[in-house]
Amino acid sequence: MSSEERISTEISFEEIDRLIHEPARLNIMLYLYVVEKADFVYLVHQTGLTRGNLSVHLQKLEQNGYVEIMKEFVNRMPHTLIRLTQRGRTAFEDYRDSILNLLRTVKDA
Amino acid sequence: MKDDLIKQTEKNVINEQKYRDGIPQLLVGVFLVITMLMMMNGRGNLFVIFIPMIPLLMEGLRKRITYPRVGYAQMKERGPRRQVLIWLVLAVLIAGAVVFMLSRGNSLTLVQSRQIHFFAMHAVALIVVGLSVVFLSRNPRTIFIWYALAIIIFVNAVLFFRLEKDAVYWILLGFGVLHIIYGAISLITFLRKYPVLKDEQ
Repeated sequence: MSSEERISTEISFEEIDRLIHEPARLNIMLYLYVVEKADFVYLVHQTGLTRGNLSVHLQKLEQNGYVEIMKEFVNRMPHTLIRLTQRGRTAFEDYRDSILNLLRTVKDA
Repeated sequence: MKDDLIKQTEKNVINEQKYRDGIPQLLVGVFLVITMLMMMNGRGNLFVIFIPMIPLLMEGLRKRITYPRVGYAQMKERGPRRQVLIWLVLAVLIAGAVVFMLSRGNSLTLVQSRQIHFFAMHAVALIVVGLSVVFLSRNPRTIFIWYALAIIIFVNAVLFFRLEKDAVYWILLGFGVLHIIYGAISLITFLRKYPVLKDEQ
């Protein structure tokens, strides 16, 4: 690998969003990306995470403005709806492009 | 290529949210059976009242059966093609209902009345098949239904030339029963496979 290619790979690593790169959060982002909005049960079912674990990851994503969490009551029972924000959607697309670029660089090296 | 995973995930989510529970197949089956029984008893024009009830029933059943198990997800808006298809089916439906109303008029001769009845029989058959396709078109697991539809259209065409009275009704009645059986099996499998999950406490 030439020094030029090494620099290119290093730059690609820098571009990766570490918040999304964590497997559980990547899974959450993927399942929210394909829908408009979803409830908490949907994410529990799709990701296989425990409720506590899922809550922690959602809080981190919310703090960074990637998801919006809406709490409501349905028949006096709490119901949580989660939506990927525009920022989150863009971040996910950027992450996908970064990973693909990185893999392409590694393959070509 | 690069979006394969996203597309596959979206497809799986749509399948799980809309079809795996068997509720659309069950309702389409019930709709076909009721409509055909009414048609055979000369009350075919009343079938239109069941159409607005299908989405309401479906949502009601999903709130009780599907969402507590796989959660609720609002899917992204689809393209205009699907909307056009739905409006087209509705337009044909209304036209069919008008023809039925006219066919009940007393001023027609016996031959005219039979011709209108025959036309209406096939129009309604096409409408119900069209509705079935609209409800089930995105389910990859029901590919065999497409074959069944092809057979029905073929048989329908043969009967059209032989002028068999009420034959189409019987075929679609059988088709409706098949939908109910398939829907019931899917629903039982769904209930066994997915336990009820609770929301965040």
